Amino acid sequence: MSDEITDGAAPVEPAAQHGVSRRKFLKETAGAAGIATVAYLWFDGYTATTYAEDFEPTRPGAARKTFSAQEWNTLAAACDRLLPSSPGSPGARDVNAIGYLDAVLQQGQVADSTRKIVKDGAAKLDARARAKGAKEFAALPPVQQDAAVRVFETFKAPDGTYPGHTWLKWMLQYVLEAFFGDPVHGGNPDEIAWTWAGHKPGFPRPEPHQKGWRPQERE
Amino acid sequence: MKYDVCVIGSGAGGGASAATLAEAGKRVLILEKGPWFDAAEVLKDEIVQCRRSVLWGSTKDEPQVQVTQGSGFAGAGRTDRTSMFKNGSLVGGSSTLMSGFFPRFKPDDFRALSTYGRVPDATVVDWPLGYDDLEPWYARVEQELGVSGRLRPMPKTLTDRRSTAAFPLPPTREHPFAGLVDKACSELGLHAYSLPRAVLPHDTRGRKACDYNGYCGSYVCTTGAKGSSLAAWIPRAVAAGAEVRPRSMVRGLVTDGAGRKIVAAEYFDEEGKLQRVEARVFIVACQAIESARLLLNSKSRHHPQGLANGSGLVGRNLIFSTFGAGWGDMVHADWKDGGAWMRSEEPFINREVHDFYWYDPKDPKRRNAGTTPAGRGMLKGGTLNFLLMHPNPIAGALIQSFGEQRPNPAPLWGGALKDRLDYWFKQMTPIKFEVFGEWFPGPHAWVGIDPQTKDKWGTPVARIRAFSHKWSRANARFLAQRAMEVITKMGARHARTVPRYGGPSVNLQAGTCRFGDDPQTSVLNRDCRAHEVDNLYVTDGSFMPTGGSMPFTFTIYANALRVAEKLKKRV
Repeated sequence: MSDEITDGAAPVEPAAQHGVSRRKFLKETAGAAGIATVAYLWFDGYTATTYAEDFEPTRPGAARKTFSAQEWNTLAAACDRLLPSSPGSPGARDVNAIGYLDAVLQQGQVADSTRKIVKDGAAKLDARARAKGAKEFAALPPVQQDAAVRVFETFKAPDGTYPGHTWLKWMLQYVLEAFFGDPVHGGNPDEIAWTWAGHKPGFPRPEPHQKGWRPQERE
Repeated sequence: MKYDVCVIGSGAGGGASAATLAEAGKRVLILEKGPWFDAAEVLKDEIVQCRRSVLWGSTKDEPQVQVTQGSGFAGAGRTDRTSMFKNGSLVGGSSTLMSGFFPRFKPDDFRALSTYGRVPDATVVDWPLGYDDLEPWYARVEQELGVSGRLRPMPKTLTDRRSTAAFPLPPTREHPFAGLVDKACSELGLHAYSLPRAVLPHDTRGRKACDYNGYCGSYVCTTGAKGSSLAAWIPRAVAAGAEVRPRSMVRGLVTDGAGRKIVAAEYFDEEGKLQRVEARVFIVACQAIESARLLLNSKSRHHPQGLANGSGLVGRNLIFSTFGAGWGDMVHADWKDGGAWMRSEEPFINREVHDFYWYDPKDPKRRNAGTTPAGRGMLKGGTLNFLLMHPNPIAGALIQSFGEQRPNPAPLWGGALKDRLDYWFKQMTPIKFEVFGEWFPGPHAWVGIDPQTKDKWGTPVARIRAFSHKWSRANARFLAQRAMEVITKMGARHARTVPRYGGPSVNLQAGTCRFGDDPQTSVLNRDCRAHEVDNLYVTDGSFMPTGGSMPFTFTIYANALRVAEKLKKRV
């Protein structure tokens, strides 16, 4: 029996308020597991996000919904490092991941704590950039940006948790939604990510005019 | 009185019994807390169906509380709010989101205690019924619902005892991996069992054939091919005159002055107004956790511990299937033709291995291989199921970022993540396995009422402890190792398991109101009527004292038809 299997407890949520210890991390990933024919990855509070019909990613230059101009610039650069673009291989910037993130954090019941975690991450990245003598994170060369992001991997709080992992997970969750979601939600333009991955979507699918669709209830 | 029968919950147990009773001319009302969707219009969209609370109800509105550390009794132990155990808040219930794996329980599943003996720190008992009591109802579900499958020549103990010669429908089309599973099993001295599915391979029974687009489990089926309650039972019930009231959340059941009979159900309607409905008989079928919660919340002078809970057993003996899963990489470049055939569109493999349904843990060569019978000294094991990964791309990418086990617990990102996604989506096709392991019931898993937390209607919520028995965990590990041998033999690289397994499969819930002949040791009698309340029946998976080592839906359907048949004569 592996030591990791100390009990059969399923994942817990919301871990976001507390940071994520290794133990909790294992629980969460086990949650991916706890569903036969898993189709989703359980992560703290994702079902707490309700569906908003008026969801629309923020276009660059348009009025921002969640972030300050500074946060937007910093997190846009961070998204670029989390899912980089290269020739023939799209990434965060090709799907307006930052605009998706700015809008999705206003949806339904996204916790205040989640917005705070994401924004605090931006402030930390800028602080790390200033410590390197740069004006802000976005001004760093990519290699140094990666080094600043990597601090989130290893930073350990005095209580033994890894709060940086929570930031990485929230960011990746929404960047990957923008990347691989149906284009009707404003990311993945022209199915650019599906084409790259050779992914075949299911059917029937929402048509472009069905922006904000949700299942129809019977009368 | 306007209704003969009030059914609470429209999933597997509620839908099947409602259809039977309505077709027998009974006046049936179905109360369902979730919405009633038009299935054909529920589009295949991962964000809406799988990543938001549209099909579940949100954690904020309808939380549950999970004991994550400690015993949890009398407030001892740490708890967290959770959504883990909710899997379908809509007409049709969680059956709407199933994959439709439909194997029958085996005869020894009905007599686990007398076959395998006592399990320490567990509450394993025999069922009050045997396989032969349920067999006609399995056959009837196969016929009425439309179960597809094929019977293969197999050794004796691997052959289901059947009253009908064949399945009513031929198997679905299958992915070429099915042939590789067959070959690998044969080379390993195992027997590949052809898995029956509640999926229609052609138009029949007023429903459309499967369109093989692969978005099956966790999704509402748009064609109606998947034999969910929403597709198969509810339309029959409605056609026979049953009334369905969606968005109707029952908060409690009210008994008469003597406490022997339920006179009404109280529920909150769509506007949140408290309503009351009377009926001659009440069927509770809200899935094992929520059914126990409803009874425990329905306290009265005669039922101070909750309705029908004189035994103190309502909510006890919560069971699941013990979970295990993993996968390996069928790398396209490893195959002469570049693996193009792996991109074949059939989403189903339909193969299981039942050779480890029981085995001798000291000598696993002694197992259910056709000749060795179940008995003392054998461990009740489980089923290996082989399947393709779910096609959801966001989930697939997140599994690559933080679902896969790796030495560094940090999520994968950046160029390393891109490389990983390129490999996962473009260079190989994963072969996945799932383990359905025996779950030994006991004090480690139960449902109570949380003393603090309430849902949006102000009703106290379920408090759940779902730890697994140590034998269940060891068994899941053993089964996962056997499954990894099979996929490795198939040619998969890097066979691996998900990081933690051996816990509950949270979508496969049963127990909590076990049936039996003794009111001291069971909640329901063998007809699934409460010992203490004359007109209260429970037809979801709650009745099962032990679960069989396979998915429950088929058995819930069969039992619900059996119970409804008895009820037909009563009301």
